[in-house]
Amino acid sequence: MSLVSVRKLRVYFKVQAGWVKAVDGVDLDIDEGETVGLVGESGCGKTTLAYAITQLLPSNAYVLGGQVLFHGEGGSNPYRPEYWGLAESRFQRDLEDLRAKLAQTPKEDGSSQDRQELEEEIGRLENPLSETYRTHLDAEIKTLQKQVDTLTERWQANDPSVRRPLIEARRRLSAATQEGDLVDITRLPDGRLREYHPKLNAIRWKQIAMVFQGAMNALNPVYTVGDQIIEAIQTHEDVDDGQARTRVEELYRLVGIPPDRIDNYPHEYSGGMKQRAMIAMALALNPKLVIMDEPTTALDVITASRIMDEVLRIQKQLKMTLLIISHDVSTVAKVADRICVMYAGQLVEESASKNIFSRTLHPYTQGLLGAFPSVKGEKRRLEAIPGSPPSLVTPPKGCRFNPRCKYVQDVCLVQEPAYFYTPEGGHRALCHFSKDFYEQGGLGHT
Amino acid sequence: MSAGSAVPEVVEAPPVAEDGVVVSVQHLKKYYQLKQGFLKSLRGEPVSVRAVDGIGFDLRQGEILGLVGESGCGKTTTGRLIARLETPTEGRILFQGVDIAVLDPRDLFRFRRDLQMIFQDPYESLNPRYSVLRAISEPLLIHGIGESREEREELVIRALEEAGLRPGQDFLDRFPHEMSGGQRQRVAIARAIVLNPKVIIADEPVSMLDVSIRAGVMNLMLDLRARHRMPYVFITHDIAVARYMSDRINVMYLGRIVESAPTEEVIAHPTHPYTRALLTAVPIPDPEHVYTAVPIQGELPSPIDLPSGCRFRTRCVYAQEICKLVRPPVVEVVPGHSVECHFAEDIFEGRLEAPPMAPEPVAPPTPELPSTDL
Ligand SMILES: Nc1ncnc2c1ncn2[C@@H]1O[C@H](COP(=O)(O)OP(=O)(O)OP(=O)(O)O)[C@@H](O)[C@H]1O
Ligand SMILES: Nc1ncnc2c1ncn2[C@@H]1O[C@H](COP(=O)(O)OP(=O)(O)OP(=O)(O)O)[C@@H](O)[C@H]1O
Ligand code: SF4
Ligand SMILES: [Mg+2]
Ligand SMILES: [Mg+2]
Repeated sequence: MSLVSVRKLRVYFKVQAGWVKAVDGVDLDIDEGETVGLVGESGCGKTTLAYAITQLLPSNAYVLGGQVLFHGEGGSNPYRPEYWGLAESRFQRDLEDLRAKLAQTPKEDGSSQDRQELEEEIGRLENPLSETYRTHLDAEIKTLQKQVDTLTERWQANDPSVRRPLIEARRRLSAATQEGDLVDITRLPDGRLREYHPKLNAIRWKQIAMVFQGAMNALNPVYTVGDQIIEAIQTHEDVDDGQARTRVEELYRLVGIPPDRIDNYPHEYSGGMKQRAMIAMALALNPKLVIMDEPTTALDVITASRIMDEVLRIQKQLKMTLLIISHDVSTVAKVADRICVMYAGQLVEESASKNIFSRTLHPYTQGLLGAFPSVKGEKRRLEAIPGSPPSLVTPPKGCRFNPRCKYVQDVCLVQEPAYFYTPEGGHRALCHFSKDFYEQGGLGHT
Repeated sequence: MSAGSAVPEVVEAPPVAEDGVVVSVQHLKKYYQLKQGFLKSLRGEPVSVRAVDGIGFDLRQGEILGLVGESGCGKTTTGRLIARLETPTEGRILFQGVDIAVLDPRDLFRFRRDLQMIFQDPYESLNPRYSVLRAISEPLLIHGIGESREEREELVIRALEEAGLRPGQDFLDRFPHEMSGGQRQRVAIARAIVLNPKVIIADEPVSMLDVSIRAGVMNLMLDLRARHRMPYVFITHDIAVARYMSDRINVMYLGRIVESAPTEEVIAHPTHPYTRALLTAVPIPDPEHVYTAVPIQGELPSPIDLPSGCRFRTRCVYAQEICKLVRPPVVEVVPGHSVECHFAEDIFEGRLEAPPMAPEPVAPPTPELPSTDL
């Protein structure tokens, strides 16, 4: 079961020109102990997705739909899919009704108010929040709540036979009420996220930690690096200076910095050491999930490759779950079990790393892989993807990749593609022709 | 924008350049004096950074010469010296046989036209207030090329189209912020080629570009070379990019060229221990690739306080006593392939396959992560 499930997530930024659709309907599951790579060009929404998982979005970001379920506490819940399925079948039914109603409502005359309401309701069902699930599972939740209450009473009256049913009922209730959705906890009615919430505080850093993009340049120059990590530990845990320092020493050994460098200032560190220190800081509270946003981008290849080796070793040793974000497919290919390719706010392909390369099912992935020069094998002419990434305020209609795609057909201009899932599972792609590509054995690239 | 052909073709062999040397760099040095007080100079001696410390190479007609190495190894300084944006501390640069340090004003003016630079950051190298037409026709005006406005506009359009911005007409009135990064870099290229230069110095021209756009710009530069046979010095920290672009690669380490050879020779027979480390560290876009430990240790030393003997010895897995005491010679292992290392021949011929000093263990002994309940 997954440690984190991102479902139908939609995060938009409000800007003068309208909405930047930075994350637009993303589903992503990360299993416990797994390393997932997220790749895509600059501006495609990788960092925004990471910030949505850690609930650290800037104040002009709005979560317009979706869930970020974190199963860090109390293990995973096997009943979730059942309740999702149930609610979604009801969404489907309601959606059909609403769409029919919308079609009947005249565009002109005074009733445009109704149209708007209908459209909003459709939007809510297409991008459901936990709230939407709960309202559609109302009856089930009431029944389960009653069950839990009765069973609890019997349990308290020392009836040992109710133990298993009680556990099951509680779990079902938790699944039906969408317990564990971080968005549900922090989201304000308008879609923005609260900056602070005690429940979230217990999860952030202790359960989910993040190495920020460019963070090594954000170290405070007037404090020693060690003091900055000690402070981070003491903000979250009640430990004295000596204990915190001992932990920093252990962390330094873990990431490969000699512990006698703790009392140096940031400018006395090389770029690679600063990045290692940032990784140490992320690991300080022993989190379950660590998100690393472009951890090696600013570093030269030698330092980058040594840091990634280090990260992999630590990941194996601590059985950590990792999400590694990079615009460089090669870096991610080296470390990830699974790769997600993001384009213009959407995940366009996801699969086990080796299948992404050997059985590419999306033209954008093919382009991305074909655009990298390599020092291995014969030198070949690189194939550029024409054009440039689209505006996320007004993304192209239909398939967002259509202006740059060499397989484009009429349907791509008008209709949004749906995911194609390979029959053997574990691989999906968002293109009208992914099924054809699959049947041909995948798209080749140089 | 040129999309590149759908069917990938093997890159044609680079033109053989027997004809003239365009740029000759000889014993070039550039030391920067650092201000006292900025660094604690205990003995009160002037502290200097040896950014470029005695390098030499020839750039021939039609050739692309790749200059690769880690950050701070002196690539940009070398490029700026060749463009006469810096004055050498020692050594000289011949352009078409003439020392650029002693050009008289008229020849210097001509030199500024014949040598063009392309920079890393297309955002900074274009004036945000200039339209494309103005940005590209300015050098024409300065050099008095083109009789009339119309004629100059014609030249600008031709340059834009050569740089893959078609139709060129459509771009004349655009401002930098109205173009993508790749388009901006193409405008910078158009501005460089509009003067018909004899040589181009490109300093990390694709490093800031997104991968999908990068390939297009690289192909464009290769196509321009094929068409006009103008040589480039192509500076990059990415050895995969250097391989794709250049006919010959010079690997720099702390102000020195430690290895120089035709590109495929370097890729197939890397000989300097630093080049070997560099190539091992490059991630390969193939999840099946089996990685080996990068054969290097320690960190880049400060360019102010360089190691004695061979400056790579502190990180080298082959290092011996001699490396500490004696500066290594430049050894030509095969004609055209030279390496600055005491053991160049042994390594090249495989007699030193196993490094005498094993690479540093990937990490020191690894303690368990501290538990959160201390
Ligand atoms: N606070 C903000 N307000 C408005 N737009 C934003 C904001 N933050 C990001 N964006 C926009 O949202 C989109 C996604 O940005 P994001 O930082 O997630 O991209 P990314 O994939 O991480 O890119 P990079 O590789 O450059 O880091 C971009 O178009 C960006 O310009
Ligand atoms: N104007 C200057 N004053 C003092 N030191 C300088 C100056 N310019 C460069 N240096 C130093 O000279 C060395 C070489 O710098 P240079 O910019 O040539 O390196 P580079 O190989 O281009 O690196 P990068 O890949 O980071 O661009 C560095 O140590 C740098 O700090
Ligand atoms: S849906 Fe069409 S435009 Fe989009 S990637 Fe597939 S073929 Fe190309
Ligand atoms: Mg980012
Ligand atoms: Mg430079």
